[in-house]
Amino acid sequence: MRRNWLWFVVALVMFSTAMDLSAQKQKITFWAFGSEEAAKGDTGELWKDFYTKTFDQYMATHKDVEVSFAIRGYEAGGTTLFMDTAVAAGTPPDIYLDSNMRISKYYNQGLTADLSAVLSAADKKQYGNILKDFTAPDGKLWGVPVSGGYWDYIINKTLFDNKDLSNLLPKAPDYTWTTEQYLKAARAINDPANNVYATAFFAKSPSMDSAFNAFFGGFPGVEFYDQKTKTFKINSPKAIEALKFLHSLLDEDLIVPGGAGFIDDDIDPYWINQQIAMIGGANWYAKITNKAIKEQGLAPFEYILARYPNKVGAPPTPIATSDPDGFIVFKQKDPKKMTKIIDLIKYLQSPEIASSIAGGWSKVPLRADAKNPFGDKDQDQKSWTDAARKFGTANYYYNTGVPNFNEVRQAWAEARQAFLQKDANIQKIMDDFVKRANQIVKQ
Amino acid sequence: MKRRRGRATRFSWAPYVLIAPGYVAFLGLILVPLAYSIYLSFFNASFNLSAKSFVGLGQYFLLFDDPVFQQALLNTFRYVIIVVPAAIVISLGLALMMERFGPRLQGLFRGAFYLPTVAGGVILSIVWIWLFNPTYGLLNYGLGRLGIKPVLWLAEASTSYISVCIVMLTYTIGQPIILFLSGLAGIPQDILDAATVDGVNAWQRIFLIKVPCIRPVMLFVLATLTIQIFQSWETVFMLTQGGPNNSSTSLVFLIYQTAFISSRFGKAAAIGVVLTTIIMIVTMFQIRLWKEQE
Repeated sequence: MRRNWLWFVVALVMFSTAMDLSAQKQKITFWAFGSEEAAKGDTGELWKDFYTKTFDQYMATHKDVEVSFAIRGYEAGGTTLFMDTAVAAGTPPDIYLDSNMRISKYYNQGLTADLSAVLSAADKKQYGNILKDFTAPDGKLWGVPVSGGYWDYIINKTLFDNKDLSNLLPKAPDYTWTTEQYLKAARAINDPANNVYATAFFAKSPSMDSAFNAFFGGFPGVEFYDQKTKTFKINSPKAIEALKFLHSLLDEDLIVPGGAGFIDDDIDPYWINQQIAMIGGANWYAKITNKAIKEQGLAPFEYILARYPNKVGAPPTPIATSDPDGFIVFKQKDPKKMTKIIDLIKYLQSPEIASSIAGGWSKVPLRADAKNPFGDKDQDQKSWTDAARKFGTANYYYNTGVPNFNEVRQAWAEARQAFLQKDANIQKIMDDFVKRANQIVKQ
Repeated sequence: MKRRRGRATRFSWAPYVLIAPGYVAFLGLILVPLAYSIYLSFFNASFNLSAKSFVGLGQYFLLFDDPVFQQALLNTFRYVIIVVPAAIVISLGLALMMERFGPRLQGLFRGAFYLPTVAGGVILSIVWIWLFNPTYGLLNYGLGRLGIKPVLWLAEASTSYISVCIVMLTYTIGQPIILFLSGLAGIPQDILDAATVDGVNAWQRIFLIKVPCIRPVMLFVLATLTIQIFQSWETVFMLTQGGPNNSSTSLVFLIYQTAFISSRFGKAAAIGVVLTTIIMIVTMFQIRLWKEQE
């Protein structure tokens, strides 16, 4: 009997020691947008394996920290709903990695912690202008950038080659062209009788906003939203000039008819079936083309990536448009835990890991000192990534500092639906949008 | 005397237990959410519900100043005014035709017309998106064969609304056909025989005898269809997302957009309360009509 008691006491001591050790560990939850079972774009490694390895390495040198991670959702709507529900239930993760467009919503709601301590002055230099998308008006960092997409322009070169029109296309290495050159190429390749269209727009859902807005990059002085006055400016004379250029594509029947009633899924078959010669949102179309060639036996065709056209006499547009991804931290009550979280983000934004996260998404690392994640096996991806970093990126979601951005984004999609009508009164549509969007940001 | 008093005072839990699941479901799934929606409509609330602020009737005042809400309200009434009478006329016409068929043929047609109701709005909308496609669509192909220019069914404000109505009709007529057929089958044969003896023609037979005889069925169909169309969401969501430029949006679709796209739960709740009130008033009016009929 006494012996049993002894064993009981020993077990109790061991258990309480184990509990104590575990209690000393600081638990940090990390969620990222994506899918655990998806393969990384640069190495083919599964995302769950990558994060397991990354956090195991960190925990090996930080015995007092325990990181639990989850990769949430794949579709934009699904992830948003999942996160919103977690926030509403009071159970968000400590750290969240996602696109600026989605994480800025939580910043605008006042739910994010100050991350100024993450980046040193030397680190900040590596990021350059992109930091402004993660900086509050008081200069504090509410997020830390990692990677940016390059939603440039894609051109089906095979279509132009077949008609001996390749001389009309922008040339390497800069891929620069003017709106006049663009129109010339569009008119030459357009063949509606045979269901081949120069380009396409869609606006039933908001998802083409950045690919559409990127055209404004070629028209200097076009401003979407003025953060200082908190008003929208897309009804200005300069903006109307750019929009009239875009509407001329519709007037000349150079775009797939019915864009106001299409979502991206409707447009994809046109591109895959080589019925669209050029379109914005390049890395999406490059991805579905490669997938269709690989998995569905699509007859291969050649495509090139190019800049959006610029107005004659205006400087060339950035090669890439992006919605930069970054880390946010939901507000913490425990300062000790916050210190540990900051330390963990410092580790995650290091050049090597940032490069690997960017490469995994086939995106551009935003730190200048992070290496190009694509090796010689993928020369095209490597050269486009180099070009994107050389010529710079811009955030054409225009979400920076816009309160209630999701609602503004929806209103902008509705304005573009009206814009994509043959008899559109562009000035009135933009005036109406500006009035409505100004009300949305004030509410 | 003794026996009767004993029977009257005897208490049993059994009936309460038997009806409890229904009441619990009604309470949990309808009454509590309804009450919470009314409560929420007095707040400015985003997805972070713990941070909501009381605004009284502010959401309601904002609504009536909101052009998108006004458009959605107008569109919803137009859907009801167009689709409900059209569905009743078409389904009654088809039921009158099918009434003449033998049991086998009638069964075949009943199944065929009821199938879209079973398939539901989402599946039908997916099929119709392809039929409406401006380049590949069967409808424009047919128009092209007739020498008519392609129509941008879902992309133009003038046609998107009517396209949604067409799809709504395809899945709303199945149930009324079944109901009308059973109503027509219930008309006493002696009334029809007497009419024949009196020398009524076919039209008089329909409008003076059959239609008045199935008026209770018609009122039931009217009430249920009206509620169904007031609540229509999936067709708008799938076909047009309310566009172009809100020309086809409906109140329920606006509730979805306001809550889950714009994260304005207070405003979405206020729209829900307005819609519930409208449906209640219309339904009460119809019930009154029904009672007067009886």
